[in-house]
Amino acid sequence: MPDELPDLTTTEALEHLVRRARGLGREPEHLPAGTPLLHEGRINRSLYILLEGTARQYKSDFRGGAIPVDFLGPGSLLGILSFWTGQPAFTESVAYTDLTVLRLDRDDFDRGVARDPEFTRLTQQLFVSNLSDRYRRVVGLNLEVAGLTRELEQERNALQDAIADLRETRNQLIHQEKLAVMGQLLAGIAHEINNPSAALMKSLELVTREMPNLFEEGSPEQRLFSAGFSAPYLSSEESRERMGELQQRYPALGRSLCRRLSRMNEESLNVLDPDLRKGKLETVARRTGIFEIGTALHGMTVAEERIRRLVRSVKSYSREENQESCSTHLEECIRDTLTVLNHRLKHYNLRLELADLPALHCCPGEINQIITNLLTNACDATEPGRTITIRTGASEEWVRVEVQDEGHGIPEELLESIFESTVTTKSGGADFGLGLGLAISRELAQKHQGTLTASNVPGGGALFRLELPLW
Amino acid sequence: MSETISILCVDDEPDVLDVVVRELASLEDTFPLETAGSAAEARECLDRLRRDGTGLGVIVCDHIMPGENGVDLLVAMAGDEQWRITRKVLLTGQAGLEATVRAINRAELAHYIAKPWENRELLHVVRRQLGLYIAARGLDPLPYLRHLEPGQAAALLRHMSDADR
Repeated sequence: MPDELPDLTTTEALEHLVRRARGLGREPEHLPAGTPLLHEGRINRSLYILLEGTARQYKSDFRGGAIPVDFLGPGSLLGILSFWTGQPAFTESVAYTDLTVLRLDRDDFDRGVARDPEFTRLTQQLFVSNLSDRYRRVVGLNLEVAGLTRELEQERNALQDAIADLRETRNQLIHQEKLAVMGQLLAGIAHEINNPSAALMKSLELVTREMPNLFEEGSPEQRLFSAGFSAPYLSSEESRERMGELQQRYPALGRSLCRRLSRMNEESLNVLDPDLRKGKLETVARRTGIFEIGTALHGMTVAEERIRRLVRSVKSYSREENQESCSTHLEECIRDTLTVLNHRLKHYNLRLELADLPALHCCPGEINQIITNLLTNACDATEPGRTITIRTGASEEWVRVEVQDEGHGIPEELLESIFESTVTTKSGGADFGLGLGLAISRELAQKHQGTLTASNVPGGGALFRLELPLW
Repeated sequence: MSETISILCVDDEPDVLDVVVRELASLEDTFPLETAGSAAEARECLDRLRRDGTGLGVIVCDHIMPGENGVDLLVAMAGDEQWRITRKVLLTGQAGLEATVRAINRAELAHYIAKPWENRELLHVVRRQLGLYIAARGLDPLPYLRHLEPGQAAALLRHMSDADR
């Protein structure tokens, strides 16, 4: 019985089959490379048994192109499905090299099966080995696809990470660039204010110096002028009380003159007392005017000092050389930053607990940037009128700056991630920046071999601590 | 005797408050000037005026101040029957659009003066607003005429004589 015969190798099986086919009147055919064997989508009535050479299968894709699917070698059956089922061919097959094939038609096959058990056995063996080959290939392909999918997935994740990194870097660069531009603008404005301010200061000095010489030595005018120059400022409350007293003392005086007199000390009032008693109000008004010139000059000097201090702070806050490391006093950084942020900080009760700190080798511009960021965050988080504390301290090896607010604190789970860019606890979107402040601040701290950490204070509020090594 | 009408000036910067008072000093003998260094102090002052039964014709108020800001104070006053009619002037260097819109819509802001202001601009504004206050209250303008803007004083007088007819 054919069943009991041992399986033959493919080559042997093909040789046997060629001999059997001869009995059916079929000879192997030689086809030159390029000969089409099967046309995709057409009915096929032949089974090709590949004896020598290589055939190639194509499958058309939805765009009409032909995609190479597989190479087939000796022992392969071509057209097996279309031949067997009568369905149109599923793929296109072309001779890739010169081929030797055995072509069997339906009729040959039926005759072979009917007459020759050996023919049946050989074709069956070929069918099975072809099918199992194809099956193995499908499994292999699936594995390959899975591997490729995994690789793609990994590549996609890596790409996404890279894009996120790039975006973050870009945002940080934009932010840094903005700060740099702002610094330049500030420095430019400070410089522009500086010149007229210096002129103003010189003129004020001159007027303050020369003014007393206009009056006779020891005259009431001269005394009133210098009293005016050193008169203390009265709060609204104090000035109201004082006005009340004066109105009692000199009932004939109008409110307006009373207000003007209210800033005078007793000594100056004594100077005016004779005129007041005699009702020489014109003289009183004129001499009060001289007192007020003194007050005004003093006011101008104070205002001018304020402008100069502001300009100095803005310059040292934003100057170019700040980008380089130098020996720095942290207290100066803090004071400069406080001046620059005064417009925001004046709404808060600011508590300074500044220890005596040793000088530190660092880049003041960047430390200013950190402190500015911590302070603006504290303002954003805290209701106006509440307290913001700035505390400094030092050990043998470290100096530290702490900024503590009385705001809503930081949710415990965000205490660390708040330093990542784009993590923000601030609501209200448009009012706020890119959520980069703390990320950049921490980076700047690390650049100085320092640390920037956050914690919550018992009783509410956040505490940010910047620690820098003394080296 | 004619009713006392005060003017209240609020600013946290003593220098600015000084300048404001100096500019308005010529009004003081007719319209007592009150000053406050913060919104809280202004509220105390309002309480005192309420107790004394003194009217408040005009409030000139800064916006950005420590503690309560100026616009909130003006909005609160607009909601208080006694101060609703007071003419409200915002004198500020840095009120944002939102605060300004709020002041106009919710506090019925009468005038907005940006710091720094032109010489005597504030005086003119306050005089005009005093006239409007007197007209709104239907008070006899005669005792105050000297301090009102000339055109306005004439209009007020005409209005008075029309009413008498």
